[in-house]
Amino acid sequence: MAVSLRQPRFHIKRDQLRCVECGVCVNQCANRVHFQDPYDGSIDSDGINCVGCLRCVHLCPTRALQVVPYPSRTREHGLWDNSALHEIQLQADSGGILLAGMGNSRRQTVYWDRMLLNASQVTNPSIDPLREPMELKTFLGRKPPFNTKLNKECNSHPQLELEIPVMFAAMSFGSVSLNVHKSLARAAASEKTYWNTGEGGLHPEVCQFGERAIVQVASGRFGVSPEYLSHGAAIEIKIGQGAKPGIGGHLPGEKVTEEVALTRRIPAGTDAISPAPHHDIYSIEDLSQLIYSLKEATAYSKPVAVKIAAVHNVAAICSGIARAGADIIVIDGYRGGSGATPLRVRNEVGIPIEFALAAVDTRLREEGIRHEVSVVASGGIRNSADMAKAIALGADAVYIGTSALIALGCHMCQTCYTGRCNWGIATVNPSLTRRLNPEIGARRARNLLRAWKHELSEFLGGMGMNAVESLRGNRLMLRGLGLTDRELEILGIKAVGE
Amino acid sequence: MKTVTRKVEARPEHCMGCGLCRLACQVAHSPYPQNMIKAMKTGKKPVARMTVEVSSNGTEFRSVRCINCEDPECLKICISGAISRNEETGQVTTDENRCVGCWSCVIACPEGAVFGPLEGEARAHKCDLCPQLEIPACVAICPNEALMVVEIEGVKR
Amino acid sequence: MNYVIVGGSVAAVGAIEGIRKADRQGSITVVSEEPYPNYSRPLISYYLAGKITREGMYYREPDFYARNRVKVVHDRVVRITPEHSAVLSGGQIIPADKLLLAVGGTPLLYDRLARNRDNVLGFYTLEDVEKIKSFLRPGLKVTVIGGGLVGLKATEALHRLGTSLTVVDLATRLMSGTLDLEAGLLVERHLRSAGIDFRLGVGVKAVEGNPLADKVVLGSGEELKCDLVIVAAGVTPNVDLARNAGIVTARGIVVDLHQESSMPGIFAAGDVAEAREFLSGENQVVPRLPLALEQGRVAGMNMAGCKTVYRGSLAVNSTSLLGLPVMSAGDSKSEGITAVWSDPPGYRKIVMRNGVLTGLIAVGRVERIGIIADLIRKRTLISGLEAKLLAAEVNGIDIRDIAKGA
Repeated sequence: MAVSLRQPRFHIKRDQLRCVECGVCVNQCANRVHFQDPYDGSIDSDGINCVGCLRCVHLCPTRALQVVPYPSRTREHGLWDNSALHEIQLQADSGGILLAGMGNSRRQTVYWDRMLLNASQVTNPSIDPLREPMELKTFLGRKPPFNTKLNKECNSHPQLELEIPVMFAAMSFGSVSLNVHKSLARAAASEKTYWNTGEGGLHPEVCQFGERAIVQVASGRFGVSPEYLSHGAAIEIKIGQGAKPGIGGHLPGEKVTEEVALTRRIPAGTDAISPAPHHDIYSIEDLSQLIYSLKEATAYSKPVAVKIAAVHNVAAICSGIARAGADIIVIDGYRGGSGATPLRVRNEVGIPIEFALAAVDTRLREEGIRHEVSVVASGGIRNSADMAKAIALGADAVYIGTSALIALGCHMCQTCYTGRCNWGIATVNPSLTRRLNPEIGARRARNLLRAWKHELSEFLGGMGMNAVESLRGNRLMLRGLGLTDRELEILGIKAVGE
Repeated sequence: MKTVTRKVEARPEHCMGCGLCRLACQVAHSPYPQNMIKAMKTGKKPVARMTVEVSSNGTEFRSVRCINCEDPECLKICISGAISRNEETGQVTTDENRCVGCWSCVIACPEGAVFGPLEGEARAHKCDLCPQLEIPACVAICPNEALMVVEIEGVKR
Repeated sequence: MNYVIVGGSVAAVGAIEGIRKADRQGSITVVSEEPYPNYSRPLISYYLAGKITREGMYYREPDFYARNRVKVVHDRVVRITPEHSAVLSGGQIIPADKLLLAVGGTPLLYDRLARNRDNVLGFYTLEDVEKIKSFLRPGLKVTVIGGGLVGLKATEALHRLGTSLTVVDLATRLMSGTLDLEAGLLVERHLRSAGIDFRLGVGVKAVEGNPLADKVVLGSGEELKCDLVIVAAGVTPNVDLARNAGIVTARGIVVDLHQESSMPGIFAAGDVAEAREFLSGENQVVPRLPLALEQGRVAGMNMAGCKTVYRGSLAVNSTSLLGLPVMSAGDSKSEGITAVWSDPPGYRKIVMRNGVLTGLIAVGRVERIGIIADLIRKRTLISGLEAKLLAAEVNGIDIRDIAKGA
């Protein structure tokens, strides 16, 4: 058999003086990296299958383990780095499309880090959020035009009411476990925001959280029925996502268990493939038709959102979507995550959310239709600063996917597509899913939201504001650091010092 | 009069079969309860008073320990009267000094919650609810909060 | 209410506990022949070996009688009157509203073989052990007559004390009362490897020597020279008291589901009672300590007016012989499905009847075996799942999944 060109990515270092041979690392690694000798009880490890999830490191009761980058190194080269070599080797071994999990991994500028927020000094003094109430409440939905007299004849469109401008992004049941949905749904309910079911349908055990759920209608139409639509607080038509713009969704057959199959209404064990386009949406008029069909089906009682990946011409696309009748537009930047996507598409297709958001907000304002939709930004929002900057660029709210999973225990090993997630998150394998106790998951997700809420309050107070509405689209609160003139122009912000 | 029964409740839906509970039990009942490494690497491995079961298809796990039966089979079968039950707390305890290692309790216990060692200085051991600790060692260490201490109030007639 | 209990062993303890559960006021009197308070008979081999002290022999704490307000009379009951009073050896009469006969059994063959020689001893009482102790010296040669559980426990203790032993039994295998051939052989091999000798399938013709016995003559003609002879050939229930009073007896004192004899107001419990057997539902004498306790409790509660039914004797045995655990439960001698292990050696057998588990033998590999034994009591249908019950590691999840009542 020909030698494999695959090299380990990680190396396990075990301090044998600290190892008590309890075997927890062995039973907790679904990739079978550790093994225990049945005769003398000693434990050894082979890093070839290690994905660097650090499950064993966290659970080892004596902290005897370290997972470090594989020490063997090829000679340095600016073009042919380790990843480039590794990817060719994998393809030479397998002949297949390289799959990846989570979002774009490029070592590329993170534009959030090139923007800085303002603070008050002397004039427009700061407000102390511990002493003054901060209004973080946000309404998502179509708003009446600016100078409408509010009277009985005025149409008021259905709104989502959020206590904080951050929601849990779409992650389908099947790509993540039911315990993830339970954790996020509970946290969303207690913090009075929303969670998104993703395209895998709404499992009966989280139906009770339907009031805080945004139910997704994707191209595969999995689980979509009048009942499904009635359970959610809003409906989201998924045209695309940042991790794989232009291609459809793919849940490998191994992850389609009986439960997943039931919730998606497909046969168990078959690959769940969502086609690239919705086969009934070939023009903006078709989209409008679907939007209004959904509104009819729900008696115009729920906002209808449309989610797209951030691509070239995103501004024009969003203008069309707003005019097509959508109440909310969700833009997913190129850092958006996924359970399974071709590596090349993930890393090479799509544009950063910072620019997409700024472009869309500018365009909609210029056309005088900014009030017709709420804009939600998504794709690599890592912390409350990213969230605050997104709001300043024009977002009404942000979605967090990766951040939420990291709060639940994800360590970004990026092998979600294998279904062997050791943290019980990106899997439906029952021996793994139980590792995420939804009581603990909900607690962690709730804590994350609360922490960001407090931090956002601090930012606002520091800027002399007491309502998030004052920051929304307020580009003057941002300055660019190390950006080109063109970039500053598109983002619509001044350079630091200006 | 009021009685309070303290039990350790295992919730199998959250058990992932890691076995840390059994490890903690060993350490807590060793000569070095504060030092896990010393406890496990000095002399004989300490005896756990509980165990973790894994179903043969690998998807179900259970953390098993004495459930302090109201009418314990082990108490009735013990030939030395080493097992007794506290009427107020409902706790069933073994006096390890009176145990002669006949293993009758092992064959009597429907939960399989009595453990050896079965060779050498044979004595039967079972969960003692860690009287020296505030929270039983297994409950404290469980990384997925699958074990809880439950206090049941009752009335003794 | 006057409760009188004849006999002071485990059945009596159970009865006291049973009575006091239902009646805190009534007076309880225990008439016991043996001068020691309740001790656990199975512990005498451990006492002989020095594994426990005299104090460790007692089944309950020293204040057990005081706590339960029990009067103890050290005497022998010679007769029971029609009004169920107990007549003592000195003629004293103890009146009783309810009487319990917990008089146990008497070792078989002993008198015939011993013929009053000091070095031919039984293995039944604390007194027997004290007498044995007086003979101990280096190089002592001992012949044990009886290869059942009691004989082997005596053998184990004496082996640990450095004596040289030969065990004789009429049956062709050891522990023939509870073990099958395979298990019996395992035990024999284990004990032989420690240097203990056996003569199986042969009876004892005579024990010769005067004034002290010096050899045991076997039915085969072989003569075993020895310094000490232990007779542990079984026990027969002490039915004379009951029989003389006109109470129905068979092998033991026949009782109903409430442990009451044919004479109302007179109960029996323990080694002397012929009570319901769990598997067959018929009456049988099953002399075991835990059953004596349970029968005593049931008798006591019924005596105190709290009607309760005895769930039936299920013979469960467990011991360790020179480190080898040997266990059996229920119908352990019938044919069944077996598993054999080596290194370390082990044997397990499950017996089924109509798909229900009725018997179990486990030698070695006995961890958590109670999970399986419990299926006998639950009358669980186990057909199709035999492999799980014979797995070396007993797995509660797998087994519980299959537990369905019959």
